[in-house]
Amino acid sequence: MNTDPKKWTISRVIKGLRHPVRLVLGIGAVIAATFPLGSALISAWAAFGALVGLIAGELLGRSPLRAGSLGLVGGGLALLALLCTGLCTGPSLLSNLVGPTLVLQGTIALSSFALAALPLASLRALGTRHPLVAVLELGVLASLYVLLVITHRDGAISRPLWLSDLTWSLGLDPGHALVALGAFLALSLSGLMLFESRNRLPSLGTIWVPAVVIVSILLALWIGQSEEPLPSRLLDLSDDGDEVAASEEDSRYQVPDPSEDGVADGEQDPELHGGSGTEEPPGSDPDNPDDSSDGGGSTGDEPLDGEGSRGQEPDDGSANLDGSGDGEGSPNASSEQSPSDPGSPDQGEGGGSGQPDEEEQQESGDPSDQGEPAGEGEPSGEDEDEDEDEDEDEDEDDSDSNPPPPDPLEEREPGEKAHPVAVVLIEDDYIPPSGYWYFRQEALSALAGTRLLPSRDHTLDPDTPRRFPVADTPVDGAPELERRMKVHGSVTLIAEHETPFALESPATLAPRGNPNPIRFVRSYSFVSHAIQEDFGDLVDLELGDPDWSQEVWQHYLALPDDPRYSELARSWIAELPEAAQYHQLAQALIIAHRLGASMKYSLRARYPNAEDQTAAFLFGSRIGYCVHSAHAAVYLWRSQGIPARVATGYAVSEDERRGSAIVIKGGEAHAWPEIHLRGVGWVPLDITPAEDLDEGSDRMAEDEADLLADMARDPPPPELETRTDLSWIWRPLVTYLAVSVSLILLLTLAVHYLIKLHRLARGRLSTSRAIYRVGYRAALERLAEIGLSRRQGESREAFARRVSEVAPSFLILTELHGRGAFGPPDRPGTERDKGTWNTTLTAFQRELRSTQPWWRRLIGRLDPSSIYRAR
Amino acid sequence: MDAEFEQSPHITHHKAPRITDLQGARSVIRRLHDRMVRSVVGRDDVIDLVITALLADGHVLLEDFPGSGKTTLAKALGDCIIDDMPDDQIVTLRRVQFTPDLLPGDVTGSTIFDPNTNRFFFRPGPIFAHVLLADEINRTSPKVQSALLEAMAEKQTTVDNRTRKLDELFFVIATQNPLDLAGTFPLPAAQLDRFLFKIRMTHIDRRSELHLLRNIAAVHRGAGEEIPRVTRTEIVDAREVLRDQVFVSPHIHEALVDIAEETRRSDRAALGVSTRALVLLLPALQARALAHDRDYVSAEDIEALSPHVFAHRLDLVPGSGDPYQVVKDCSTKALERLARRSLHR
Repeated sequence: MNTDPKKWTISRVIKGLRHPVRLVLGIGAVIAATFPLGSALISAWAAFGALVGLIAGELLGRSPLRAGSLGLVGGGLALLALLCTGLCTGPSLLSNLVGPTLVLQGTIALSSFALAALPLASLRALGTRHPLVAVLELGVLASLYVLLVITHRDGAISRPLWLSDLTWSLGLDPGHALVALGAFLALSLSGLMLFESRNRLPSLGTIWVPAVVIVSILLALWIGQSEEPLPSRLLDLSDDGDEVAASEEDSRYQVPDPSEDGVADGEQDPELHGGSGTEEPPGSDPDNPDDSSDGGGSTGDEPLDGEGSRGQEPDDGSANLDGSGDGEGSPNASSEQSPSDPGSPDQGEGGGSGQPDEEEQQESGDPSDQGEPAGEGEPSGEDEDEDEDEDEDEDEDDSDSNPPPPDPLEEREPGEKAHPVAVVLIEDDYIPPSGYWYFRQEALSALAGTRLLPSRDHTLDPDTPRRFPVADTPVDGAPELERRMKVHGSVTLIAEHETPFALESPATLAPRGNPNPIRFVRSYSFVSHAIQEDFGDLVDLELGDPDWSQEVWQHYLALPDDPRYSELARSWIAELPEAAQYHQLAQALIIAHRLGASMKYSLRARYPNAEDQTAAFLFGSRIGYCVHSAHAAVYLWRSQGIPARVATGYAVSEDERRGSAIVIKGGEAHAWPEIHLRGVGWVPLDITPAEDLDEGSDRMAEDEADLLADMARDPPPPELETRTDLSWIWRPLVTYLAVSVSLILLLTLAVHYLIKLHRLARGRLSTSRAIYRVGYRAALERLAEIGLSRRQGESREAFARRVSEVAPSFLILTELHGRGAFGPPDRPGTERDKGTWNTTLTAFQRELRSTQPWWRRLIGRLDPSSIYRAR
Repeated sequence: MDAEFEQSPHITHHKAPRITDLQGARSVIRRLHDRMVRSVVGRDDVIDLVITALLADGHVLLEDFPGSGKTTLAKALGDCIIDDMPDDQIVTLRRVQFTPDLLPGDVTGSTIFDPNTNRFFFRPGPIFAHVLLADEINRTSPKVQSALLEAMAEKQTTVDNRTRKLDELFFVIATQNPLDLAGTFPLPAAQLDRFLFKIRMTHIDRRSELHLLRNIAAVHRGAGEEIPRVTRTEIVDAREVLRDQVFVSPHIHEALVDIAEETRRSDRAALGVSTRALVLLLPALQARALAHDRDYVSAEDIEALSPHVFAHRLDLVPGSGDPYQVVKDCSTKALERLARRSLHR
């Protein structure tokens, strides 16, 4: 006890520091816990609450109030706060007076204040009373800080982005900042524990708190690992030089993050750039905080890409530094851009997507590119758009009839044609008769000038749903099951789409849990009425629908005012045998066949200057791709009175099916013409070009496709069904808390049992000198097990007298203990003493056994709390 | 010299063997206890405390209502003691009834002119006794009180500027009535401090009272006469022995200081216990330990004795309630710590 207040020694000053240190720790912990919520209001009020709570707790703890009444006051305040927030948020006078926004903010502020202040205050108040609670308090504070490193899993060491952004903006390395933070925490926590030792911090605490911290850190890193997008697995697959997967990781899933790595790598480890895929243990280098999948990948990519697009040596190490610098843009701005930077293929930035793999492909594409479409009069200023020609084209004159959905082709680099955009799982035994799986997304049937657009009138083409399902949604206008079969399946999107698509023709769409939210955008299931017969078996059917009104017929028969369509169509129909010339389906088939036979397929075909691109294609070189041929076919059919439309979506060859899964790639975006058969509905009647001028399409790595399919098959995590906006933060948080709390409890329980076991065993095994206390403690432990423990303030002798009814030998044990504890020290314990002890202990146990039923002793033995009552 | 004394059973010229070990000291306590228990019914705890005080060389202040056996107790104690030094003019038991008009000389003795020899001689007062029963000590004037208290502290008295030694065995049992305080001179804290124990006696329980009534004849006859008495020298020797040979662990010392500090820190006591209280308490603890057949002081001794030693030394803030409870509250923490420590190294 320091009775001399004037004694200002250093230790007193340091001791005085414990309150500010505790305040800083508490406020920091609350901020660390609330910052990910992303609301400055919550953080600020929670921090304020922590400040007030800690101070109030300290003062309350010193007040003469009893612990019970402290708890009552705390509980009452919490209730009051809840009541206040409940009252305020309702339509009340208050919200009328000051406006709902203010009231809402007020309640948020109040509740975050209360949520921070009350627990901290009660912990602090009880902590001043009881050292065990003080230990608990330190443990709680420490585990709040562990929330910071949750985002470290996968070795993304610079992860709490707000922290690393902050440090970067201050010109510091986040690795250093984190190390400094950790050191500060360790120092201040251990300091606080030392201060608490004045209150006889149980020695248990000195082990317990660090154990809690370590366990919760491990937990934080471990939990959620299962939700990981498995970048490492993909990396492994791509280790054999195929880095597509790695780049996809970077681009799509954005597992790791920041540009810092790029900068750090560029400046510090230039030698890394060549060998991008080397595995280095995460965290081995605090200055280079990212894991190898990220850092290596991105730094490796950028130089290669920069050079590759210029047609220079792809592996030249000497150019790496420049290349990385270019790829990065300005290093200063990188902290903002970087999260998306490694993934730049999506952004179409120059630096992004190059991998050795795509590299080659790009280079191989270059000559053909320059050799050909430039001749079409393409303004050749855009090197990098080589393979985006088709989009180019349509952007200029036919943008709305753009066959593929916007994302896969428009915003993707050429190499992305091999990029998976969706995984379709087919649950029924069905094989399309045409050999192609058609996934219709949009139907273009309304004529606008010289091109077809989706009709504004939603009663037309109602079989293309325009919204993703949020519940079981039947599709209007779905065809009957005539000559069609029910096919169940699901679509799991990897790339974002604006409207859903499904195997033609969908009858019902329903939401489906996302099996892997990090990897997949969304998932939904469908029931389609899929066409079951080929056109050969459909010849008996008439075209169109007699129920259609005049307007509908006109809608599906409208074509540009150009007589050449009709002429060409008639010339082809004339080739039919006489009998078939008036059979409309035969006419449609011969037109499709002739068109396909006479056209050459090339994605690079461009007709930028033509007023009617379809006419330019059809009556010109007949070099073009699906959009051209689909439009041409539709116009030709319509000219002969055959109702037709263009459908867009994806068409996947049956050869590409992998078991029940179809992995759709960006390159499989397609536009095809459809005709309407009575009773059967719209049926694709595709044009098969006679000749393909382009190189063979890139195939996706089979392993990767299988992997994606497997992942899409994974059952969705059930709680995702009801996922709300904040679930991404609460769910891991709750899991983390639940698991860590239960593990901490388990750990505590184990420690208790260990202590108990230790005490019981040492009663027998101790040396003769210490037998008086360990033996006595073992006896006390046994008594505590059956519910007999010394009351506070009761002397050992009085307790022994109380117990003597149950176990008379305890009186002797007590006396022996007192002699050992307070007796003269010059009488060392002898073997005889130990013998006495052991015989008395045995007698004592026998007495216990004879007076206590076995179940009571068993329950007592299992009760871990007896170690606190054995005193 | 007085014939009456010569024949008294309280005087012997035979010297008993000196007591040098705990066994002997223990037998002194047992004999005292056994005899007193016979003659005073239902007061076993008080008897124990009185014997403890006697052996710890302290004095006791009994606080009880009239007729509750204080005098009986004191007389029984005096009856147990044999004066084996009859030549020193010090008798075994004296009783003084304190009244407001008592003078110091009435207690200490005074010089008297002897016309036969034409000289003044000192006539010892009742203070020259082994056991002095000072009845209703708060009724007399502070002057007399202080005269007595000097004797209690110093074992000497000063009459006419001449200091005379009292006997080594000088044991005061003072009593005071807790009620009926009109016209009394309450003892100030400094004087209360000289009493080792202040024992609050309560009415004896029903069974003891019945037993007393049934056996009143035997009590009058003098029960327990067959049990041997103890001599004055034996008691003095026993004091020495237990002071030297009953072990007091450093933990016990620490606990005592803890308790004292706690009373000084407590906001219920304006004045904590003095260091003298601790010094006086130590032999009392040893005596009690010996009375319980121990050669070491245990936590239980502190628990049992500390209220009687500390309660009357605390100057309680008004409204603090029972001083015994205050002492108990103040000592609980230290005793718990002591108990915990006894399980650790």
